[in-house]
Amino acid sequence: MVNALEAIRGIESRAEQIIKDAAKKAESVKKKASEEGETVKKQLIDDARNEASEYKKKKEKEIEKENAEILSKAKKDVVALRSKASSRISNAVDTVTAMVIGD
Amino acid sequence: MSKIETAESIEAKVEKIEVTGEADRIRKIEKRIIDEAEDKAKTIAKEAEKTKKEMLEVKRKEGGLEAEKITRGGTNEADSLKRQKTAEARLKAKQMIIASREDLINETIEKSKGKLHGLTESEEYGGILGKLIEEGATSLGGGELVVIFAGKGSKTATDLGTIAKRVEKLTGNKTTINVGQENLKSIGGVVIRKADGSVIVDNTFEARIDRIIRDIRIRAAKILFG
Repeated sequence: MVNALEAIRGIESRAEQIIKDAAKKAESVKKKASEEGETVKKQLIDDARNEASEYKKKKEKEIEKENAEILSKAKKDVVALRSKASSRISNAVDTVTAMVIGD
Repeated sequence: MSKIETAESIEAKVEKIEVTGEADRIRKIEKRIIDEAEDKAKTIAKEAEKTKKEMLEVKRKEGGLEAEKITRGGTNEADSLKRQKTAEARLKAKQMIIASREDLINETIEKSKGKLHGLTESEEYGGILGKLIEEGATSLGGGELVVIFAGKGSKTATDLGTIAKRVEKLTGNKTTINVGQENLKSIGGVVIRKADGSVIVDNTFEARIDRIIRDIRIRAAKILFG
């Protein structure tokens, strides 16, 4: 009777250990999952940052190119403007002079 | 497994042992207890796996949201920077054109001043001065007037008596015009004033330019760029 009770207690103890081990393993799985999750999250964020950085670099190159084009065109426009005006300046001077003396 | 449950199940199991064959029954009890424990362990493991999947999903979602925010923010920032820089470049280009136009208009005015100064040495300057004196004297309403010339030589080239008569006719006031001795620093033209100095009409070329500068700019721009 006593032996049986002890045997059963031993079995119960084993059973408890099985459950404890499972619980411990479960905790470990959860902890690992948490770490893994953080890694996945960090990776996604890092990828997004890299993507944003690449996009910014691409846009900066575009800006540089387009702005150079805009300014180059403006310089050409200025040259064209001066060229056109140079043939007319004499006429403009005569007109302004006449305006001043009241002709 | 709680202590109460364990205690109860032990009582029950002992009872059974007393009734049937001990070893066999203990084995049966052992099998049942271990099976139950293993089932529970399996459930715990299953739940842990489920929790693991959920946790990963949550983190993936969090990361996804954060990543989307970063990507969107970065894109918006870069696009906005591009718009700003392009607008700045366009403005700079526009300013270059405006400055160039402005330079050409100013160049025209400066050349015109040179031409006006050149006129003071010409034969037609006497006629120009006559017109400027008559215009100024008339706007003063005639009367006793003094004219101050810019430069030399022009004093003799102008018939002030004839001008005074014309002014007298236009204003209905007896008019005399005398030559003032003051020095007038100007590229050309005259200053006409009442003899008592109460009213002055500045008809130097510079003053006339200043008075009509807006019209001059508009007209010059039309000729140069029209």
